[in-house]
Amino acid sequence: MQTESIFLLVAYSTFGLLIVHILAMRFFAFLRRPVSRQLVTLGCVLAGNLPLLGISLVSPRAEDWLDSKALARAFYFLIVYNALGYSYFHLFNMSETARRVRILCEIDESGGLNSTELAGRYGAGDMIAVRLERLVAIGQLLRQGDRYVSKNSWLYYSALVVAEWRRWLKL
Amino acid sequence: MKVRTLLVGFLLFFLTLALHILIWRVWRPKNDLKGLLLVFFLVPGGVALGAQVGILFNSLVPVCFDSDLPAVIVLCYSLGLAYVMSYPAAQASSPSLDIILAASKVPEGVRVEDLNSLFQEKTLLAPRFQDLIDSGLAYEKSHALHLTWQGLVLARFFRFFRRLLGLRVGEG
Repeated sequence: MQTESIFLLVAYSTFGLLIVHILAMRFFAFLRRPVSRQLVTLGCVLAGNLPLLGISLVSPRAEDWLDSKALARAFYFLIVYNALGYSYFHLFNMSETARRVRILCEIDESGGLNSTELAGRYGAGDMIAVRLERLVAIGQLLRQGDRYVSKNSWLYYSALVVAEWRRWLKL
Repeated sequence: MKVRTLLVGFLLFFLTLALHILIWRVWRPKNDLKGLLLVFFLVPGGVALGAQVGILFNSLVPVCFDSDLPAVIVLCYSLGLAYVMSYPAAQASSPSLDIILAASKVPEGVRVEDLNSLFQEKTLLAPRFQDLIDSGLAYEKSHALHLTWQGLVLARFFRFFRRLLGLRVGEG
């Protein structure tokens, strides 16, 4: 595979995705419609697969798109793109939900913070409330009166995998 | 593209993953991030560089490394990056995942009060303070946490990233 193709693939998977994401986020902000930012990000990542699949299968010699080399290339493009897209989704998720990122930004804003000051700005109650709101918005929890019911969807299975992985790594 | 390129890329990734599991089970580095970067980026990079040098000097190099080395490395690094980005969820015990697991244990659902008793401020914030210090992103001085230059770069990066997207700083 030519180095230029790899370079273009990485550029498409990073800067291309970032530009599409910026446009999508600003579009929804313009519409003033309440929408889960995580779902928008995920949608941007998934949508990028279609043009990539088209580009990778339409080779300079269109008649050979079913041969093993063309299929291997398409598979390679999709694996690399989705791995980088998944990483981008996590980067966004960190900026949205990570406690460490929030603490870093709070310290940057104030110049220095102790744990009591930080707890005043960012208490456990707030943390739980924003998470419940997000989990309901992305369809992982169902609110029934004052209770939150698990829908046993993909995040539940992810939680089980992560719990098992922690045991494997002895974390 | 050769199917072999895909196979070698995956093989290299799974070897580094196995190395990571082995190291973490025997002796987990204090600075997780540095350890992960070393295992998932420096090790495969070193293997690839070694193979390239071997090819140049026509020595006994496994035949699988005979071509498409940049493609192999990009595949291995992409998978490695995806893993490194997922790692904090396992390392820092994600409250969102903990809420999901807590809710799944009670068929009629959990109440906010049940969750409040599950999460204490001490367990939610104090370990993250220590993580920042261990990762070299912050230091403690006069009972307050301050940012190192790496922490400052990271904080500014996230602020800039959110501004690009037209968003305020995340709620955490």
